[in-house]
Amino acid sequence: MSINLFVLALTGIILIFHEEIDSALGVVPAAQAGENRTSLAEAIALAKQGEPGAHPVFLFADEEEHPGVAFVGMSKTSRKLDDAKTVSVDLRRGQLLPTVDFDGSFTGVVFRLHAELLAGPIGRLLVGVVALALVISLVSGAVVYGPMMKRFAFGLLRRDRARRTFLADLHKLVGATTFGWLLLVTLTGLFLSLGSVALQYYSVTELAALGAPYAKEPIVEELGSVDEAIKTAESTAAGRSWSFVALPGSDLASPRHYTVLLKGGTGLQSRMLTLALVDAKQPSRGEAHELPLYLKVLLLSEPLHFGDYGGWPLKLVWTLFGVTTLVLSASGVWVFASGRGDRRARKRSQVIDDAEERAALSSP
Amino acid sequence: MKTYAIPLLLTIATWIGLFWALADSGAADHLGVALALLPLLFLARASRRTRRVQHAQSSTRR
Repeated sequence: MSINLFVLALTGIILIFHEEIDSALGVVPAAQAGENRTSLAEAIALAKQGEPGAHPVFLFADEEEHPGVAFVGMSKTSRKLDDAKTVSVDLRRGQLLPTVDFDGSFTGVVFRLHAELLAGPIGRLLVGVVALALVISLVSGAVVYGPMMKRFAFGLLRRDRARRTFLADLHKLVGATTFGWLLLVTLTGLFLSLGSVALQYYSVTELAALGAPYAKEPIVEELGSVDEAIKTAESTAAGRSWSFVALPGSDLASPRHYTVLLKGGTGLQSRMLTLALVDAKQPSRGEAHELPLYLKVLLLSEPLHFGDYGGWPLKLVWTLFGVTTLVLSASGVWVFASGRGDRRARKRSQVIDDAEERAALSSP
Repeated sequence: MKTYAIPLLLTIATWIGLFWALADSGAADHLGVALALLPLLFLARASRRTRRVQHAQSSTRR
């Protein structure tokens, strides 16, 4: 458990600074300065030229992080979002940008190690099991902590005793003081590990029900209406702008609809995406839909897990908590390992004592 | 009492701080972050205090 926690904490600390690392390594190509002159429909057409034979499955943009760049997900094998390869388009020059290999980048590998132990969807569930075990150990640790520490002053570190005693004290002190943060980050990590399952569930239940009347229609391949569809979606939620579009036929949209995710507002509202379904054949027809509670919890879990909502001060707080988690897990491993060593030594001396006693009894 | 009370208060402070910072994107943002920093300050203080107490004990023994 402690080793898992050590890996998760170490990779988590690196991921706090993923934007800075990606920007320093030049992972995401930047667009030229200026105004966007290329429509999103043209961006999709450019992506199709760049990936012949592949289907566009999603469209994504983030004007704050990557101004002037649209990311188009292209897939040759299926229409699943997970299988798509991302193609970047410079909306200012109307050109394809060099291919972005998010998965192969340094932070991409660190993220996959953190979120799925480099083992794909099974690894994601495995991380969920680790998170659940961690929640249980945190709660049980808190229950055991009180009676055990009653005799001692809070925060006592017995430096003059054996190293094991000192590290056990340190483990308890760090665990007790950072309990709130650790529990929050572990719980949100548990929710996020179930994120893809929750999204799939939403896709096959509520979204499937909304698109049921069109389920047997052919997939709309002509996507010239995407710009108008986005305007329609934005008109359903005042003050919000689009951030992601699942294109018709993908696993988050019906064969005939765009599923547009909208973001905006301040504070908590800015974290709550809203959703609009827009008809790809008649892009002036669109309607807003409320996301279910479990997806709202999932959206709320993301900032509380990554600590990316308070700028540099919060990043620093997250890093310091991450470092204390490293101390917690390393001291936990040490205390456990040295305890086993002590037990083994005690057992060995007991066996020797028994043998000596038997020898003494059997001797005439 | 202290064994449970201090960790409980620190947990509550952390949670209020982090949720407050998340809910508000204005000046309260920084107050929330400062509140969430409390456990770390407490950790540093507890460690320093123990070192001082032990130093005093060893001086007395000498």
